[in-house]
Amino acid sequence: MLISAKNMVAGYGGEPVLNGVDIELDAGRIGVIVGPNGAGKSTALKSVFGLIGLQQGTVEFEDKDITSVPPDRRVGLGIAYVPQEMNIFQSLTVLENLEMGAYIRRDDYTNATERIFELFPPLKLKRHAIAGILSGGQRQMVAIGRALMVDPRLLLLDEPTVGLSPAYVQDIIDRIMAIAELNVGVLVVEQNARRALEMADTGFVLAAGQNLYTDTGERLLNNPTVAKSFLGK
Amino acid sequence: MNELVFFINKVVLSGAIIGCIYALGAIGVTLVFGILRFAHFAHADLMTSGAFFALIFTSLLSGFGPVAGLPMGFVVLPLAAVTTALVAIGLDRIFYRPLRARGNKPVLLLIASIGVALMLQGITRLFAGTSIRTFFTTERKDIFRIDIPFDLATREIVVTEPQVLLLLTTITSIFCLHQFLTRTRLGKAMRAMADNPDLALISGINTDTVVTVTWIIAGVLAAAGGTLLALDVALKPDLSFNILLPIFAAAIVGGVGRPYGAIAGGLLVGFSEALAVFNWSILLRPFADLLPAWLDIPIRLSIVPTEYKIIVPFVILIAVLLWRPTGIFKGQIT
Repeated sequence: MLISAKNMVAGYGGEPVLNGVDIELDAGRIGVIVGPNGAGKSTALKSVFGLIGLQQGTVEFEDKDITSVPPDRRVGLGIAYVPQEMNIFQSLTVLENLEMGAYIRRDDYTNATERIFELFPPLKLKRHAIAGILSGGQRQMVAIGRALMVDPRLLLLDEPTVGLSPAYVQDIIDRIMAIAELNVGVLVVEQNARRALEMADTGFVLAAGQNLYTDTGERLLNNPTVAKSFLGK
Repeated sequence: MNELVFFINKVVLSGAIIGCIYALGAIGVTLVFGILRFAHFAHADLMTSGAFFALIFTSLLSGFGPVAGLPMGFVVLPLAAVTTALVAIGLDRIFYRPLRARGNKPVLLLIASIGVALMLQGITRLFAGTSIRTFFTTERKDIFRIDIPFDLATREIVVTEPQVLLLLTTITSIFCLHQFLTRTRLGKAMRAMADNPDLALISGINTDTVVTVTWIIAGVLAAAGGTLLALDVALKPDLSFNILLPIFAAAIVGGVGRPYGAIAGGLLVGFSEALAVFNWSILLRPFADLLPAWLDIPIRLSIVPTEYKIIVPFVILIAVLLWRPTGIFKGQIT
């Protein structure tokens, strides 16, 4: 098991937002977290990364307990996180953004840079452009690229397609699937449940801070209750 | 022609010289704000401290005689810069870091820095008294007089050695800072942290190191600005506190958190001051024949009298805050 978060109880002070959420994912798989607003999707992702301390529960990464490891050290272990907003260094160039992603690496990371340019060809052309002036889709590519610079084995994406034009949405989804093919586990929080479940190996349907359903994406799409409640049919 | 020479001396040179001092101070203020998000009110007194360190080193080393014909106060600048940088780090460790560690709001650090400013001024007065001191007790201040190769010009462009050194030091500092910020890993990390502190943290950027480097740069530039100002005029305990307002104006005009903006802002404030106190009737006098007879050119015709120079940065500050609060280079305050 690449990541195994069990019985996560967490919140921002006051009533916990998560009331015992489980998230498990194997290497090279795509897991998506879906559910209505306020279900605790982003909170679950942040808890996996350690941005929010757990009141209860454990997080294991590659069978090691990392529950008390701070987020900046989880990066060194091989977990990368892309926040939903403010996820690039706007005043730095594209290349500098990638360099900052590789900040903890003391070895030669030319290969990682090349791999990101292969994955996101538009970035290669714009590598000396200031990241803040790029289009929304390209900024998202910079954000994901920055996270990939550490060659993570688990990538956490918080709503990577929000606010993007439809052409870019499909592009980002294709890229996410290409990243998973490089044997990287990808855990994605998505607003659009149908689109998300279509690419998912595993879908986690959350409601009110609890796992409602956990199954393969395909089976969840065909589950009439899920379809009725969450897919707007 | 003499009028033009006068203009060069009083506006172009004076503006550039005081502008460079403001720029050296404003870069420090803007970098500290960019990284730690508070206006560092003790920055001017850090400049004065730097100048006093230079004075101490000068008196210790003046026995060695002049080095390469340069004033001793300038030769010891690297020593003063290192000492000031250490003081800046020390101030952060003792006063600001514990406040940050307890999760206090930046405004609390701002208030603390006013306390630090008063403390630094007190310490300087305690050890050095309130008298005005000069670096040139045993040496002579060299003055360069540059002749203009025109028959009509009988006056010369006058610039002192410390002023030339100030211009050269500022240009060198800005070049080095630019190289550091755009070419080195740590420099880029500094820009990254000023841009997006949360993302910097989760990228694994060591924020403590960046904070320390910020204080080193701020301290070195403060020592350079303070010492060169003291070499140009004279050293007194409130030397730089008096220019705190123009320095803050420069940092805000340039866009807070933007080092290049601080340079532009420093020069803008410097030139504005020089233009505002310039006696414009000198430039009008050659055209007296062209003007109608009823119009007498007054003896003094300046926008503000010299003693009220301080209102210039005030006006600039208010104008910027009213019409373009983010500054020329779009700073971090919106």
